[in-house]
Amino acid sequence: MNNDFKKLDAFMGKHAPQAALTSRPLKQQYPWMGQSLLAMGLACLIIFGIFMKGNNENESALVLYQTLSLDLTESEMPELEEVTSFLE
Amino acid sequence: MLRLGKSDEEFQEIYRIHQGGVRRTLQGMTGNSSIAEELTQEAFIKAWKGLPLFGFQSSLKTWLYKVAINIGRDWLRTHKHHSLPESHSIEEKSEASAETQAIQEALQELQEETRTLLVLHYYEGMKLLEISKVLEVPVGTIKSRLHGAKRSLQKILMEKGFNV
Repeated sequence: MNNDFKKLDAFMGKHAPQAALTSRPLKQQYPWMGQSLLAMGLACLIIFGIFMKGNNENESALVLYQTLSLDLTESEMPELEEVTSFLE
Repeated sequence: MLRLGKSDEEFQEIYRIHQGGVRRTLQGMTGNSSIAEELTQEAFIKAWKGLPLFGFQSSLKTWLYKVAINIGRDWLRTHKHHSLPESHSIEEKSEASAETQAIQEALQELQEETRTLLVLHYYEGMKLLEISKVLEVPVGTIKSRLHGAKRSLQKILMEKGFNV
């Protein structure tokens, strides 16, 4: 049945009175929405993860400098990798 | 969830949520926007009066559509031999696409039952179960009727030159 009326369903979906769309379930109105939201969510998670990783590294560096009693301003701080490689 | 009562505010909320769908269904049934507007008012007046008797045997939406469809059917029975006046102004016509007009014309060529079924399915996006509740017909029957209705609509639209 679905195959018989695939074109008809698409035609009706596209050209039936526009206002009718407002009462349809969101999933039916915007079938692409689920995937897009999922993609956006994943992208946000990745960006947030990168941001948090950066923050953690900065915090780790700060703790390390404090432990070593290095009296440095933030601009003078070396990168974390430099300090850790020096300690090794 | 909306609590049912007969207060103005509650009924205004019911009207706000459902008037668009009810009017659209009635327009699909009658093919005339002015008449659909009048019948929508009538349907909500009837609903307002009947609201205290609404016994939660069905959902409020199902019940409202039942009320509206009965009003639409009454109107169609009374005006069976009347030709329907044109529902669109020139401006409205120019805004509506040829396809949309063809759909509306095709629907008017169908029997009332078939038309109502297609309107609920395509315009309101109702599922088979919901349509069966509104029309008080078993789901299996709705399924087979919908198949036939689609076939009829497809034939008319193809005759009008659309590849559907």
